Amino acid sequence: MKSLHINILFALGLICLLSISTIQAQTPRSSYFIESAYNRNNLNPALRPNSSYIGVPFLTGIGVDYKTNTFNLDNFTQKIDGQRVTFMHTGVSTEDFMSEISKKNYLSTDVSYDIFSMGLYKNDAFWNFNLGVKAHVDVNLPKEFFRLVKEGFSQTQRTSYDLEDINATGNSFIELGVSYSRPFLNDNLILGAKAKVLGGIANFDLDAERLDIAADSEEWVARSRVKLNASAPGIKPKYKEKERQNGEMQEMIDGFDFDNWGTPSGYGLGFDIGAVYDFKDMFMLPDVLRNFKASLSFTDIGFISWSKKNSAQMVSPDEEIILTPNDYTIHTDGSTSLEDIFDDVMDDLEQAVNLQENKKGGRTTSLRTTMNVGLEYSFLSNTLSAGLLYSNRFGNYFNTQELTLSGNYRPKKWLAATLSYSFLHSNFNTFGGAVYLTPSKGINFYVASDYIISNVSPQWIPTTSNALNVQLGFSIPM
Amino acid sequence: MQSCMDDDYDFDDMDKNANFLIPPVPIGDIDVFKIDELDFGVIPPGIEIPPTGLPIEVEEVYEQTVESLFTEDILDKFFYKDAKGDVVLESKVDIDIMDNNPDVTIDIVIQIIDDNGRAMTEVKIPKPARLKCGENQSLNIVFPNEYFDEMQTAKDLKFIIVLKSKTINISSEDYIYIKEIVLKSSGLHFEF
Repeated sequence: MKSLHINILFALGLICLLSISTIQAQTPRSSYFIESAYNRNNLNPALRPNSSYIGVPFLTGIGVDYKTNTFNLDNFTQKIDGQRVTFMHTGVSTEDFMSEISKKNYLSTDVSYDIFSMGLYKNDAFWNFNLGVKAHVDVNLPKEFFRLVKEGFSQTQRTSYDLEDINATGNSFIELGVSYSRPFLNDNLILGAKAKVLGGIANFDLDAERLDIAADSEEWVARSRVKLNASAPGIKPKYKEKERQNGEMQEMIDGFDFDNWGTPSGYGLGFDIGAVYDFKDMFMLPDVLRNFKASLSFTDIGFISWSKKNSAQMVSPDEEIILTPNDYTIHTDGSTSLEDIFDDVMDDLEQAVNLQENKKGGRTTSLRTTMNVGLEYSFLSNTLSAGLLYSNRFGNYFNTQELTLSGNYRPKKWLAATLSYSFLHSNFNTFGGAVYLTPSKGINFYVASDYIISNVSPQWIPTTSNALNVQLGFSIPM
Repeated sequence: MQSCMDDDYDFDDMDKNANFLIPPVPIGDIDVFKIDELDFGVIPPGIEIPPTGLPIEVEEVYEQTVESLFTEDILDKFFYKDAKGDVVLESKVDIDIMDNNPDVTIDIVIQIIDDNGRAMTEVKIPKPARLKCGENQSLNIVFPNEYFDEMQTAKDLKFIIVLKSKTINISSEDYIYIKEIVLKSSGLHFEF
């Protein structure tokens, strides 16, 4: 079946849902307050592990992260007479389905793969080196989009939809970073910073500012303002030509060609900055409050510049496309079927969003900066602590936030564990945790997740979960 | 990470049928039927064409087949087994017979022909309203959903045109033009 325009739009949401099995992650927040965790340097460059280390190459840190407010199978399926059906089934009412949909529906997935990292103490200073790959995809669909897909169009009167703010972005790059941190103010303040050289692999930014469609028996009218900026090795849009019934040739976008993926498509710089303040020596503070530590960081401040030959900037025509029953003809000789006409109608409708190359030029994109604000209270000689971490990732079109409360247990130098709960995405379905085994000799190992219990289908698609993540890694102490 | 694998949400076992409420689909015009070029036809058994009320009544029957109108894909999209409503081809029709003779009545009987060339008499298409000479008359061809199961081998659409008048004298100027067809349905069916 030739893909419907609506199917393509809808697939934006579902494909993200179905891509969960390949999701990847950022450092779990459960690791933030664990002193032996070397990977927490990724969340705040002022946070240092207890000792120097060298990561096991290719196994230093591998993980997955996925967050949404809507995209799981529980919201998109229903049980009717013992059979689970999709939301597009005729048995599912529009009211029932739309009650599960938010005004803005986002999905955010992250990859962070540390190929290698190493941390060294030199006197009070801590140096950390890392080489890794990062990638993310963010999608945002407005509620009105789902109303169009579910409610559709009337057969007897004019129906119109004005959609705004459908967008998706993705970015992937290689990162070579070095961070430095050292204590100040009698070891009460640690400041850290990381500088990263970035090699851009690919990037895209799809922004449908407006998508208007109105239809009745007399005509279909569609108009859009869509921009797609993309960068990848040698990216070049491909077009296919189609002859319309009236002999006119129609050009339609048909994907992209790429060159060899072996070299970066762009280069950039990134920075992380962070601070940790220990209140233990704070003048005039009551003793009970001196067990607090506060921290703040901003990570992934930076940009990537994508070269002209590796970039494409495209826009839709921003013209009204009008389709009427006068535009098509059925021939009696068998040369036109209803299917041919239907395909022509869909192709003509697609002209409203037919992306054409606008101008050829390089582009610069910013990284997604994340802010982490932490507060920790230690007791029983630092054997136990409670921590609260607020994170806000500033995306191109929406921000993803999380608030994590953790209880941290450090009975021995070589063992640390955490139990945590992340309020904004756990839905009372799950909790987080981390375990760090860090003997002074031999292999060190950790595993961490902010959402330990992930409810998934046999195909690993989230069912009732709004978030998944896990990370694990191996290192050798020095 | 502990996964609770919920078999209740097994995507392979899910009913993935979906229905999108597509607006009326513009289908277009059909090639003009020049009456003098049409084959003679026969009124199918069981179809009653009411009398005109004229004192003298002559009848001529013609037919025109629109070949390969239906395909497997379009049948799956609109004429699927569990569709909740009928499919209607709503159109306008211009008719000029014997210089727009007001005494001429035109009855159109619709038949579906299957992929073996057999008339599918088990699929009963209601006869559209009687027409006269003139422009922009309404012609609605209704495909009742109760027959969609039988329609899965449909291929052609045959128009059987029954003319009645006091006298009938067809020339090359006489035509029927079915135009501005839109397809109305209870939705477009697909599977995820």
